[in-house]
Formats: sequence, structure tokens, C-alpha cells
Amino acid sequence: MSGLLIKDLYFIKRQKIYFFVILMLIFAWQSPAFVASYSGILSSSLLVATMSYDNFEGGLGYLMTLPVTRKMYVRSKYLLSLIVSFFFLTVAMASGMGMRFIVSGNVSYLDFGDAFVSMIVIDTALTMVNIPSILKWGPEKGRIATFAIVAVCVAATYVLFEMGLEMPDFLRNIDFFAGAAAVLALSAVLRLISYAVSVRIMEKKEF
Amino acid sequence: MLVSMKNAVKRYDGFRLDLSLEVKEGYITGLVGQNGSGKTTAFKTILGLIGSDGGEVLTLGREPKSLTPDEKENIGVAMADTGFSAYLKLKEIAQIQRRLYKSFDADAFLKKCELSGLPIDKPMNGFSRGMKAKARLFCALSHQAKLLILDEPTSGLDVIARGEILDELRGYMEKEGRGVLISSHIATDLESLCDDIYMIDKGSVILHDDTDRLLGTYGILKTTDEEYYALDKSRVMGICRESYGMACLTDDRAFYAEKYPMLTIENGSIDNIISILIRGEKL
Repeated sequence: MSGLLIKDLYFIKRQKIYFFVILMLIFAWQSPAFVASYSGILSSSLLVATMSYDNFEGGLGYLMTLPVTRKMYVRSKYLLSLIVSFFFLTVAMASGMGMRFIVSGNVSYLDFGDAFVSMIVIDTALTMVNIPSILKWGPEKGRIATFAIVAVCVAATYVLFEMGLEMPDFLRNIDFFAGAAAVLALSAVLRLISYAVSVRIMEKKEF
Repeated sequence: MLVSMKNAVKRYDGFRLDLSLEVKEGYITGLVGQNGSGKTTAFKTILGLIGSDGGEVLTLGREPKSLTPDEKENIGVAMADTGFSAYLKLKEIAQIQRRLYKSFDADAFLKKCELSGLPIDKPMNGFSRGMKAKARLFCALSHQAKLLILDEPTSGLDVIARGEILDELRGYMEKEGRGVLISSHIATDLESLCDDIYMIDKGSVILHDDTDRLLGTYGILKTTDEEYYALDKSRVMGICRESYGMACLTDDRAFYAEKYPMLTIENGSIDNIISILIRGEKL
């Protein structure tokens, strides 16, 4: 499986534009929450790009003739998603903290709670929908499916808030570390469910 | 037996593959047929990229979809228009293959690429078609596979590049226990390379024989209508109407040469045999 990961890392190494965008955002906005959220979108689109390249000209079929299983391929994509997300999260948070320190002279981890949660939520939501959608429908239709699913989720959330649904008190008053741990745990569970769905799709796929 | 297909069936809308085929150790087996005849479907079935709807398919003695990564190390694959992504450099592919195959020799692979004039430090999207084909073949050859599956490896290449690829394959077969299944539109490539050839049409085998026999004993009898009616047809396999009269395929041209010394008889070749079998009618 490490061969598949290396292949994707070679591709990511060439995508300098993504890193440039992150740097520009950090300097332009100086808002850690915004930069972190956008990093979630960027890391997810990098993952999608590796899958699009795999699919190009029947390349995924060729990859399946190599000494890897279908399950290993899926696993490599979820692992790659974790590696890339962790990298982007670290860069976004560290740069954001650095910028905040330069501008205001002091910095607290509490300032970055929103940024951390935004990044994890956006990245998890996109990854858990993107991978199975692309495996099922291919890169183009998969992207449309992802957009449709995310749009439905956003619309549903909006409707719920419009109906007067409020955040429960225990969520409002939750401790930072407990909240972060809960978000990470939820992210892990959702990723595992998404992984199981992707493996099922991949096992049935014909190339 | 490296590959065995017994009445392997695969159904698509408007197409049905129903194929029996074998690739033996020490053999280069050719698969010939028109576009859409089922060659690529057969390859995909053998490689487990698609499932079969019936019959039996065994690759290296196993059901293709259940081949483990260790077993797949014994298979090398090169396809006409697909392979590793073209953004990769050969140097990077060597690093990827090193992690995928235990018996991959990165230095030997890169040296071979350089000797063949392939730049190892440039992305493959700048390569010519011939260079890409060579790179794909070298990838397939680089890990001491027992079985090579090559789908149109010489497609679109000039005569020099094709010659180099065929030489590589002859070199590969020098080691015992290996086998190759290869398809090509260029019949002369297969005639000079293969030990046996399967001709397929509409998903089924229409002829299978040793290449030596196809070239040595098969022939085309070119007859006028009068000659055709007088002809002993006991050894005619197929006929096809031509502008001059009839072209008759036989698997015993010596018989006709002796019995009808005045008859025009052309030696058998894959192109003219398959042409009569597909365009004409079987007897």
C-alpha cells in the first residue's frame, strides 16, 4: 500500500498552487477560522484530484493489476486524506497563531477552537462523501454528487435553524478539550462508516 | 497452466463473450480479432478487473478476483493506452514499484530505460507514443513476472519501436516457466512472435492453432466460379466471394497444390485467414 501512497504524494508535491493559496489566505485574512475552514476544502480537493488522476484513461483499472487489493486502494485514500488534512491543519493553525502573535502580541489556543472545529467538520464531511461518490460514479459525476449532498445538508441545517432549533445548552457550555475530543471522535466514526461504504463499492466495481 | 478460460461468459448490452483459452508455460499466445471482438474483455476477465457471468477462469491457478498481492507480483501487465499516470517520472515510478514488488530491481529498471533512450527525470506526459509504450512494457518486465498480459503493446508504433518491443519479449521468454498473452492489430508482429494464436470474433474463438501450422499448412485458394464448383471442398474451412471469384481457406494447402497444380494458392497469414473467417462463411 505504501506504493500507492507514494504515488499520490508525488502528485501532491507538484500542486504548489494549493500551498500558495493557503499562504495568501493567511496573510490576506488573518482569520484562523476562515483559513482553517478553507484548508479543509483545499485538502479535500487535493484528495479528489489524486482520484481523478487515478481514473484518467482507465488508470484505476491498471492500478488494480498491481500487487494491491481493492481494499488497500480504498485504505490508501483514507490514509492520504488523514495525512493531508493533518498537514493542512497544522500549517493553517501554526501560521494563524504566528500571525495573531505578530499582530496582537499574545495568542491563546482558545482563539483557535472555532478554526479547529471548522477544519475537522468540513474536511470530514467532504472526505466521507467524496471518496465513495467518486468510486461509485467517477470523478465528474462524483463531484456533482458531493456538491448535491453537501447542498442538501446545508439546506437542511438552514431550515432547522429557521424553524427555531437552537443549540442545546450542554453543547454551548462544553469545555474546549472535551469538545475537540468529541469532534475528533465523531469524525473518526463518520470516516469509518464512509470507509466501509467505499470498500463495498470498490469490491463490486468493474473496470 | 498460467491462464485457463473454460467457456468463460461475460454479458454486456448487445455483446456476449464466450471464450475458452489457455496460456501454457513457455508459450507466447496471441489473441487476434477486430475492434470490439472481445479481446480487452478477455484480458480484463483474466486480470479480475471484471467478473465473469459463467464458466471458469483461472489465472495462475486461482480465480482472478481472489489473487493476493503476493500472487499478483507474478503478473506483469501493459495496456495500450493506460498505465501509471503521465505526470510521474520514471525515477518516481521506480520508487513506487520498489514498494510494490519484492523482486523489483530499481537500478536495472532505470538503466534499461536510459539505454533505450527514455528520460528518467522527465514526466511521461512529454513522451512520444513509442516512448510511453516502451516505458509501460519495461514496467511490466521489471519484476520477474511469470505471466505477461499485453493488450496491444505495439499499437501505433513505428517499425523500429515495434521491433525493439518484440525483441524485449523474446528476451523475457528465455527464462523457463514464463508465458505471455498478447493481442495486436499488427498480424505480422504476432506471426513472428507467437507460438499459438486464437482468432476471436463477436466474443467467441473462431480459430485456434499453432502459428507454425497456420503459416506452414494453411492457404488461400483463389478460384474462378468454375474452378470453385469443380473443387474438392473436403479440406476447405471457409469461403469468401471476391472480385475474381472465390477465396477459399484451407488448412491443407499441400493437398490442393498436388491435386490442382494450376490453381493459384496463397500462403496462409493471420490477416487473410481472419479476413475470410469473418467476412465469408464457414464450411
